[in-house]
Amino acid sequence: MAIRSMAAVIAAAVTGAASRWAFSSLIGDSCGLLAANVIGCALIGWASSSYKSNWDQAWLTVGLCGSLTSFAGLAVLLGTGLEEQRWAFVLLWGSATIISCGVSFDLGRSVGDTR
Amino acid sequence: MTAILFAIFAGIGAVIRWKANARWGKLGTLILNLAGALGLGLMAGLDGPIVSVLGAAGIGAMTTVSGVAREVHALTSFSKTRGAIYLAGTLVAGVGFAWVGIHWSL
Repeated sequence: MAIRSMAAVIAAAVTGAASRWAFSSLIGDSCGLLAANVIGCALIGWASSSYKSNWDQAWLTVGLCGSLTSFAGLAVLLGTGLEEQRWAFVLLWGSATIISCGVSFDLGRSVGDTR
Repeated sequence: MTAILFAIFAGIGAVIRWKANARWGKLGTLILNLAGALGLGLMAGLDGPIVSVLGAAGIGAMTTVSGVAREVHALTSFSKTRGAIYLAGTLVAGVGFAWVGIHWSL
């Protein structure tokens, strides 16, 4: 079971990380990261709202959602903005990420609760 | 070759996060997020496959925003103040660590 769970987490993580990379390639680094973070938060909101087995929790939340989203990418994006003294960008992009991720998490939970 | 290494590092990053979260809970996620922010910041001056493999796959998969969202939600249902402190602390410290990394970047 442990090996099966680990294999599922790894497979989902590869899918999540590759999807984040694809988003960044398609619509640009900043917007791609934001899209990946928002989708990942919606998915984890949905997953945490309804009953899921440990197996589903492992591959879906840890593997897919965890790897689809990237905190380090967001921190470096904002850190680069600080380094370049683009204060408005840091404030707006940081706020936009927090708000959109919070809203998408709640939306995901709402969808899960109606099932 | 890059694609294979990308998959290997993404898997390693996710497993490290999984085990750290299982062992240390929210603290594990916080530590990995801050370490990842510093690490990716240090790589800011680099380019090429190493950034895709180590940065996007390894560090990207090791750190998480969705996990932060879930933990903030869990804390907020208990105490809104704690949720706000965890969110603000993670974000401010993470950006600070990333900025230090960028400043010292390779």
